[in-house]
Amino acid sequence: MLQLSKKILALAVVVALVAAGLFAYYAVLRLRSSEWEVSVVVDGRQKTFKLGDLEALAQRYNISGVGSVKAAPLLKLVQLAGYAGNTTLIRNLSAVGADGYSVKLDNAFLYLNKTYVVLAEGREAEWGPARLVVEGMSRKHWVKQLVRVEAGTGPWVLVLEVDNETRRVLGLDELRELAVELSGLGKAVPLSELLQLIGVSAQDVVSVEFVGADGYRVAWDRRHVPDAFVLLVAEPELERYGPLRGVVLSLSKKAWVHHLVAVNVLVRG
Amino acid sequence: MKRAAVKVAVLSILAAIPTAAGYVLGPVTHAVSQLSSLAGLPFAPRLGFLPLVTSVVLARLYLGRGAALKEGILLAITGAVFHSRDLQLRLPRDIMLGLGVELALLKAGNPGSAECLLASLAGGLLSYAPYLLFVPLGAPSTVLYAVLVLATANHLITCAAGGYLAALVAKKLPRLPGLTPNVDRESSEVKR
Repeated sequence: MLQLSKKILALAVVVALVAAGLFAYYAVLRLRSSEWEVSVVVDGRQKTFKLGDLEALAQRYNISGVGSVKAAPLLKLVQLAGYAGNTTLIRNLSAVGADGYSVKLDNAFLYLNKTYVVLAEGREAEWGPARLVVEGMSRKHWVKQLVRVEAGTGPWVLVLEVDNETRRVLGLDELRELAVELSGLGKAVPLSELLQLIGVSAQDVVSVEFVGADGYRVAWDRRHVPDAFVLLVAEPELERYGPLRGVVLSLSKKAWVHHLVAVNVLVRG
Repeated sequence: MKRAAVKVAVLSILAAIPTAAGYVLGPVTHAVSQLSSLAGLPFAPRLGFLPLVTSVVLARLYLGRGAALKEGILLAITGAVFHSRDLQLRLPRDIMLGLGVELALLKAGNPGSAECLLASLAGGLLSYAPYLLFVPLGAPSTVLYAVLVLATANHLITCAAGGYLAALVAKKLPRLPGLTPNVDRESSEVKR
């Protein structure tokens, strides 16, 4: 008798859970999802976006791993929340879902232009009205039912990568110590110096890629390594070029990258 | 001494199950998630948590009182080693799972499927508490509460499946001589 009642109790609890979940979804969430809000906090300054605001900012993007979706770029949202982005970088980013799941991204500026708040358009039931998608990163870095994004800015840095893996992060002060005077351009750090810092021999380099804060990337082969520099931009031109600029003297200015945030070196083997 | 060593070995084997099962359950979760999304269902079971519940309930079934809590602690340590992210959530989550199962089966001599299921739900509820504590309720709204209900129900259903799976496994596999609690003695102790 006791055994039977426990079985019934257990079954009743599971049925109640399913019913509660279905009710929460169909009776409340689907009908009232327009009330959904995503708070974006930049250095303590908060801006809340209602679903309607996000829809107004959204465009159709073709994101790998997701397909064609309606999404608002996170960069746009953090800019609206107060991030200026000319002399500072978003170093840390954390995103929280309504279910408590959270992800943290270090050196978030490297992914910011590939990060979107994707809006649900129908069948994506369990993702919730909004979810964070970081294109090119595994799904464990995506957050469904997104409710909050917190961004922390920090001083401008240069990330040195080897085969897309971060080897070293250099601050502006460290770069100034390595800088030499480049005639007509100002203070600059030779790329060969930076290669030495990360233990890469110039002979092993296959190609080098300069990456800008806006995601602009330019790659060139190792012949240009002796002519490549990371320029420390002086005050009057800070607004235009950002604190760092990747220059290759033997190439046209199309290959130069302003607001430089990373140098990615592809090596042999 | 030998008995203690076997107990530790069984706990360790059970703690290894979620890690090993993860390689299979990851793609399966993804497939189930896609299917449930296509069907428009709000539920997509978090299969990754299922083997943790199964391990904890099995530990209690095979090694008796106290084993579920020990298994929970062991899983928390394993989780901290393999998934160092979100330690403030993962550590208490696994320990609370063990505690919940332990408390629910405290007086059970020979737990059946129903007891296992209820114990897994109790463990599931306690293990979800750390997540609920960190939920950002900046501007509480009906929608946010609805999501919380949905997420909690989703988690608990996964836990129930884990507990039921443990009961099924325990029914099929033989008990460990000298280790699995003596049903009659435990029952009589409870009665006394």
